[in-house]
Amino acid sequence: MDSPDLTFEKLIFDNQQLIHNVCNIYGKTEADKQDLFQEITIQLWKSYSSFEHKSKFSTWLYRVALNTAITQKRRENRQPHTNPLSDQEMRIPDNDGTDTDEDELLALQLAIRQLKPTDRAIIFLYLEERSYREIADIIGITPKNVGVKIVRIKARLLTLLQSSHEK
Amino acid sequence: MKNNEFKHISDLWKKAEKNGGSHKVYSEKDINEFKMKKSIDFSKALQKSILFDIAFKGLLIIAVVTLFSLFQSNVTMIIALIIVTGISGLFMYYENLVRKQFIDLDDYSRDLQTVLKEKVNFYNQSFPKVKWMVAFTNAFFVWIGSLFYYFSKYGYYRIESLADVIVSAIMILLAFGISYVALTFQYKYYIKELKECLFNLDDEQTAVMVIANQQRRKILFTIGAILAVLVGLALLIFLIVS
Repeated sequence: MDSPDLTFEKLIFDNQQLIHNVCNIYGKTEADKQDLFQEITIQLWKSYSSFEHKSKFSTWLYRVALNTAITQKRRENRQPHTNPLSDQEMRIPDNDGTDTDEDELLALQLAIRQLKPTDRAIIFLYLEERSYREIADIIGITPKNVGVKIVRIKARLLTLLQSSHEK
Repeated sequence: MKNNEFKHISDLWKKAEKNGGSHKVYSEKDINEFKMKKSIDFSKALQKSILFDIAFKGLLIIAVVTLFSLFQSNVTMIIALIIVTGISGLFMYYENLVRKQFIDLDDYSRDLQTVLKEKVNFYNQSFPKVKWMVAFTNAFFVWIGSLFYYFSKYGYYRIESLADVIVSAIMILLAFGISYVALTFQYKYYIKELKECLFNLDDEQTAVMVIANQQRRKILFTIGAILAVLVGLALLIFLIVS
């Protein structure tokens, strides 16, 4: 009784952590993230019939998810002069002087969100432990170029994290 | 030193992944509901507006058929109506071709750079033409509306002085211009953002050259289109006045 629909839902259910990770670095508020999760699911369903199992399932999923997140018209474009606090920024951090893992992770996600959309995609794939070859396949640039970009993005990310700690 | 610092970041990310994060876990039923929902993708909205414009032009052509019978004794008016209807038909055909391009454009299973290149290409080449065509529909609507107004009020197309001609031309140009400017602003930020993404990905000279070529073609097309609108308007005024 394994219909294609059930297979699709099971696949997305099993891999939803990957989609949530994409939503966390491209969505600002919880509502944004939920909308993005929904849109990614729609786009995955639309392309599912053309998925030929030539590439790895995760490669295909990353491609669709990142393409959807990057090419989607962002809300801040419609409100260029406002800069509302995100759900994460509104949370009150533990103020006992020591950073918990969760605080650190929030700081990392905030720093990643300050990167350019395509840089976010590259560093995200790097943190997800994808090989340079696979990142190159997903992004469409050469593995050598991936390497060069990762060095630059890492440096930028560390600077951003450092300045957020100083604040 | 920097590698050690980054190792801490990588470990943190892995740890968070292992713990599953603090997000809501969607069930298979939720996923099934999501996939059935309507896409809020930007190109979907554009596809819908093109489809609406084609339908609108279709309705205006039906209105023109009625005008043929109302103005059957006015040969110049019949010629003007035939010309405008012919142009509308060509525009409808082109818009339908553009609408079909979305099938390839929305294939997100390809790599990011290919998707971005095609989108930037589309919004720089095909889309500007569509903007002119959509703006034309509004000008067409105002002109057809004025013909019906004049006929219902005076029983003929009442253009008696140069001022009447100028007022009619201004109304048509305004309808065209407002629509064109509105469409340009609606998509301006989105197109800018796509271009920035492409530039950032491909910091070699390719992206710069592709976009410079597209800009050149766009400028040539804009000059050509402005000339065509002016010549068309002059021809229309000539046909009406003569």
